[in-house]
Amino acid sequence: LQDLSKLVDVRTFTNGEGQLVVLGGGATLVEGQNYRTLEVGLDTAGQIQVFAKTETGAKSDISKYVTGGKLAAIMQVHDVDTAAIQKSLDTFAFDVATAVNTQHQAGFGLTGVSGNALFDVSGGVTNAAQHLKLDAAMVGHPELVAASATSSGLPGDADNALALSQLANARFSAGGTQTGAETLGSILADVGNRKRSAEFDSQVRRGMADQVFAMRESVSGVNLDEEMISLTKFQRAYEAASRVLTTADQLLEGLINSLGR
Amino acid sequence: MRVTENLRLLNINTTLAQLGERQAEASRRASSGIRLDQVSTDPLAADQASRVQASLQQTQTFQRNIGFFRDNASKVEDSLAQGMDLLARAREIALQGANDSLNSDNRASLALEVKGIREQLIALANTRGTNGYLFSGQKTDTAAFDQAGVFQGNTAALNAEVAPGLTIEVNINGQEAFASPSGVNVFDELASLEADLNTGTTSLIAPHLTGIDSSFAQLSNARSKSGFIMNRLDTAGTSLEQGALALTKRQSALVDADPIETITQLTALNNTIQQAISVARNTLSQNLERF
Repeated sequence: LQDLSKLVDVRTFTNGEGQLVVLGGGATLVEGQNYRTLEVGLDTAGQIQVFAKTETGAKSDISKYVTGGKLAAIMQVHDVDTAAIQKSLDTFAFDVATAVNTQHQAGFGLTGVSGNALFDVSGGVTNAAQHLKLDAAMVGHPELVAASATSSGLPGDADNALALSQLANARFSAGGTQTGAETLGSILADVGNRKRSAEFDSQVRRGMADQVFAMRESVSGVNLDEEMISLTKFQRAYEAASRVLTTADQLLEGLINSLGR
Repeated sequence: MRVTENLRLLNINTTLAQLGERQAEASRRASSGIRLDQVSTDPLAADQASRVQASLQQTQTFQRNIGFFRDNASKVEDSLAQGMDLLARAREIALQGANDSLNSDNRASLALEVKGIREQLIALANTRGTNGYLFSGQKTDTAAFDQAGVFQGNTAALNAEVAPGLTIEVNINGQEAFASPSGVNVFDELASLEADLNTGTTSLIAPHLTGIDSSFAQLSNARSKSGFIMNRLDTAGTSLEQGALALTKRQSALVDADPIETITQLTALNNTIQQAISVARNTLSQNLERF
C-alpha cells in the first residue's frame, strides 16, 4: 500500500464483510476477489490518459480523478507545464517567421524577384518551433534572399536586409507588445519559475510527509528509553510481587510450625 | 509526543540530505564560477541575462559592420587623395602647356601625360572594395565609369546600421565626385585639355586651369565627405565598445558567481555538515541503557 500510495492517491476502508477495499485515483482497485489494473496511454491531443482495467479487459478513463502521487506529477509536467512552454515557443517561432517573411516579401532578390517568403509557416502555429524550416523555393537558392528594397537598387542595395535586421528591435512578438529577445527571455523565466515553484512545492510536501510520518511513529513506533523504563517498572513490580509471596509463605510456615507443636 | 528511534533517524537523515544538497550546489558554483547555471536558480536574472546576451550579440554585429565599412571608406579616401595628386600634376602640365616657349613636340608629350592621368583617374574611380565597385552606388557589380568617362552606376545611397536605430550613408556618390552634372566632369575636362595641348593653341590651354581647380575642389569635397563618414563610423565604434563593456559587466553580474562569497559559503557549509554529523553521533549513542 505504501508503494502504491507513492504512485497514486490511495484510500482504504474495511467493508461490511471485514475485507479491505483499496481505492486509487477514484476507482476501486481491490475488493475481495476482484481487482483492477492501472494502464497509461496518450490521447489524440498527446495528453496522458490513465485507465482502470478490469480482469475482463473493460477500461474506464480515470485521468481527471488522479490528483496525487507520481502519476499526477508526471501528468502535470507533461500535459500542463511542458505543453504551455512548448506552446509559447511555438507562438514565438511562428511570430518570428511571420515577421521575417512579411519583411522579406517586400524586398527583391538578386534575380529581381519579389514576394518570396523566407520560412515555410504553412503548418500554422501548432508545432511551429519543431517544423520551422526554409521555404521550399529558397532551398539552394541564396540569390533569392531579398536584401534589396528596390529592383533598381540591385545588386548593392541592402535596405531590405537592414529592415530585416531592424526586426531585432521591433515589437512583433506577444501580440505586438514585445521584441523577440524580450519574449525569449520571458519564456526562459517562465521555465525557471515553473521549476522553482515545483521545487518549493516538493519541499513543502516533503515537510508534510515528514510530519505525518512523525505522527504515525508516535503511535506505532518504539522509544527505547520509554521501553527501558517500562521494563524496569515491570521487573520491579514482579520482584515486589515475589517478595509478597515469600512473606506470605513465611507467615504460613510460621503458623503451621507453631500449631503442630 | 513520543520521540521514537525512527523519528530521530529520520530527522538526522533529512537534515543531512538537505545540507548535502546545498553543499553540492555550493561546490558546483565554486568550481564552475557560474551562479546562474540553472534557470530556476534565479528566473528573473535568467530573463535579464538572455536580453543582455541579445544586445551584446547585436553590438558585436554592429562592430563587425563598422569594421567592414571603415575598410571601404578608407579605400575611398585613398583613391580620392591619389586623384587629387593626379589633378595637381595636371594643373602643372596646363601651366607649362600655356607657356608660348614650348614647341609642338613638347606639348604632344604633355598631352600624352594628361592622357595617362585621365586613364589613371578612371581606374581610381573604378576602385573595388570588399564587395564590388566603391563609386557605383548600389550598382556594385558595374564599374563606375567606362573608358569614355561616362557614369555607369547610380546615385542611390548605401545605408548601414551602425548602432541601434542609427543608420548612416556609407558610400560616396561617384557621379558627384568625378562627373557632377551641376559641377565639372573631371574626365571631360582632362580630355579637352589633352586635345588642346595637341592642337597647341595657348589661349585655349590657359582657361583649363580654372576647370582643373574646380575638379580639384570637387574631389576634395568628396574626400572630406568620406573623412566625415570615417569619423562617424569611428565615433559609433567607440560608443559601441563602451556599450559592449557595460553589457559584459552586466552579464557577468547576472551570471557569474562572486568567488569570495561562494568559497565562504562552501566552507561554512562544510563546517555545518561536520557539526551536524557529530551532533547525530552524540544523540544516537545516548540512551538509558548505555548511559
